[in-house]
Amino acid sequence: VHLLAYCIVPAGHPLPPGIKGVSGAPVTSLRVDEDIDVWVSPSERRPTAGVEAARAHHRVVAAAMDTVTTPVPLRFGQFFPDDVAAVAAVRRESRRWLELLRRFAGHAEYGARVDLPDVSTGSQLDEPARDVHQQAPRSGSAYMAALAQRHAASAQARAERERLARSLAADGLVADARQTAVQGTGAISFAHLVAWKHADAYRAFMQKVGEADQGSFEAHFTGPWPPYSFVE
Amino acid sequence: MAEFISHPDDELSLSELVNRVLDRGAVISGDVTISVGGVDLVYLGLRLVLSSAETMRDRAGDER
Repeated sequence: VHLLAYCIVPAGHPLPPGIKGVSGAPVTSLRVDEDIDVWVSPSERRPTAGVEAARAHHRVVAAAMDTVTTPVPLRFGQFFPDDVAAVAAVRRESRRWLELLRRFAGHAEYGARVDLPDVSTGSQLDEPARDVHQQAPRSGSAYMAALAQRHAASAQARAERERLARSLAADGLVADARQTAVQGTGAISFAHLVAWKHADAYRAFMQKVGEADQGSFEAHFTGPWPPYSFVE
Repeated sequence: MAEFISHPDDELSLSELVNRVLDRGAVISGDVTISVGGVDLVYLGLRLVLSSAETMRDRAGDER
């Protein structure tokens, strides 16, 4: 039977009874080696991406999480012809999975999406979008002035991003961080890896950052998540 | 407004969930194939690169 894989966990990590995966299929745990298991469910065909399928995938990964153990979350859609192929594929990189399990233990991912209304709204954060109604500069000096203005706006956007990154990662509450521009928007997406023991302090700190900067940007915080953003 | 979403199934965090599940997370095998609207899409490596499976097959055929 074909299999869909969800996450990698330490060997023997308890599977919640009756847990269902994509399309309501029962999830089981496969032993890979003495250190790791992989959670899978039977699937007749390649999965179809959608909100419900994504939710189902995430529910299984989240069910593997507690304050001690954090799974290695797998990307949706990992499909194997049978359990032998699934185990062999996981085993090929077993050292990598074990290292990630050790690194993630006792941690969770938190997300912060920050919308910067005063900087670029184009796909490139460093290239502020020009107003389409704005007339093109008609002379060389006007062109140079417009260019200088764009450079200044880019520098301001960069400085704002750096300031945000510094303030969001402050106080030693964040074990690791990722920062990406959200394509097609002026938003920045932060992912923070936070130890459970620091979770309350982290949330309080982020609330404070969000409130202090209210007006200059809009922030939405999410979490805790399995560490989807930290597998590389 | 700063607000923590404690439950990942909350509507506001749905796009974050979909983004994480479909675009992040570890890849065991080289490629991940999923179907969207009846078209097979192929993810290559750890970064999201979308191409229809049909295109991939055509390209593979051309290279032979």
